[in-house]
Amino acid sequence: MSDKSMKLKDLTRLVANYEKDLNNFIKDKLNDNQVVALANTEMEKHLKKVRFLRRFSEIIAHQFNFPTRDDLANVSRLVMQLEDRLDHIEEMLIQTLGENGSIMEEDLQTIEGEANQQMNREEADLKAGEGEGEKNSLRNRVLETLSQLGKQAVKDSIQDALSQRGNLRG
Amino acid sequence: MADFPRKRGTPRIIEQSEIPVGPTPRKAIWRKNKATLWYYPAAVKKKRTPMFLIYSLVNQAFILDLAPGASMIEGFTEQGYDVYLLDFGIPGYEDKNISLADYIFDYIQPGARRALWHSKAEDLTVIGYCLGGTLAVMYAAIATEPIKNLILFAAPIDFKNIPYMSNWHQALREGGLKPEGLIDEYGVVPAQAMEFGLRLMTAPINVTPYLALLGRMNDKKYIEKWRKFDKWVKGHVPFAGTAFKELLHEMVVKNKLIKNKLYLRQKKVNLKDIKANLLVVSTEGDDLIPEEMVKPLVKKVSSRDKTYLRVKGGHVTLAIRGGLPEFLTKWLDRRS
Repeated sequence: MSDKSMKLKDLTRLVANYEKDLNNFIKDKLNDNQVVALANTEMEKHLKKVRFLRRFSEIIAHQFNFPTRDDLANVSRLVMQLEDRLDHIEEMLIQTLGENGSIMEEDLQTIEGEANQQMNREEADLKAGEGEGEKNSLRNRVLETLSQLGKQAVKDSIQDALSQRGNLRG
Repeated sequence: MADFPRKRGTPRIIEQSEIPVGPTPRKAIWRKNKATLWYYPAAVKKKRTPMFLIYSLVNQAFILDLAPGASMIEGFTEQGYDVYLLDFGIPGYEDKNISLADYIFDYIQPGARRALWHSKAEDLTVIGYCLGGTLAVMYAAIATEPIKNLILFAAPIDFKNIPYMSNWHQALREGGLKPEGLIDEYGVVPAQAMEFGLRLMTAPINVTPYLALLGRMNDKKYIEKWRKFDKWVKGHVPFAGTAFKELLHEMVVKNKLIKNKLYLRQKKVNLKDIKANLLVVSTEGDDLIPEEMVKPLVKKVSSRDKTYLRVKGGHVTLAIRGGLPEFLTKWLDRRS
């Protein structure tokens, strides 16, 4: 071990001892009723300043039509309330899927199959009606788009339910 | 930070870049407001009862997964436990109305339910660190979820004899110190105020860690770990104002938890309702949460299987030592 590192170790040990004593000394001095009273007085002074600044900024914000910190906090709280409700619904859904043995994966697959068949029938009907003329073409395109969107939404929700169920059942 | 001229060849110890923490693979399985329930899968699952970790509201939870070889979470996963960590995140001004009851009923309880659903386990081992331990005790007393084991590390429960700053406590009790107005005005207790206050209570002057760093300035691994720990030490988070005021008045001043007089949403927090296997740990070098604030819980619960251990180390030593301490491995082995 080099002489240099020995010196540093000795110094560290020495400082550690002094540090402990010094910290105890500071804590003793801080634990004094006068210091507590001073802290309370300073806190009250600081409170007055902070309160004044808040009121001032609220007046300015009101004049310039800016949202204040409280306005933003209120919006955040509304979002949190919504989050709470969604969370509650999600919990109920998980609980229902977990407890209700009749809603099995096969049932969900049957529902998906039936939904697909329905979509296919609608698609076939749309295609059959294509020859009816130009006046129907816009209607058909809109219906087709809606059908695609609906099909995708049903598929997505069934996929979500299946994956949640997979999580529950392993 | 000013870029001071350095002697040629001297390594740059304090880098300005952000240092990454939390190396154990994880997945968020539930989020609420700023809180996240993290799932750390076991390397090879060997144990049936998963861990549900509740961290403090004062500092950041990454101390439990600081670096490879310095992570308690890594220790659990390597021993075959699935781990769920409830990280409360960093509260903002909009969270000023969050109360202790909100933390218990809206965060911890649903988090525990999610962990149970996700793990498909029959019960949980709840572990609380520091103030997270205090919350874990409150939760365990009102829980309807099955808790098999309750483990507490440096959790303050009894505030009757706080062995420091006695005049400050007296002033709080007698109305000579009234921080409520300022807390209401700020909404949250700012992170800097938390850091400053806790430093004053424990070690106002802290030079030795820098000397230790100087002594090992050529050890890159040590420097990295030092920087990560330093990031945690200085990484306090704001404390929701309502919860802080409750903590001051209901816990520090009136000491309601240990007296079984605490009510959360009209529900009594009765410590006798805790029946889980209990392990309470305090460390010899913990200046912030000494033994007298931790140990009295053991006599108050109904658990048949209860253990109190006093081990070597400081406030967070066990969390960053790496792996699991032997006493914990043995205790858990028979109960998981």
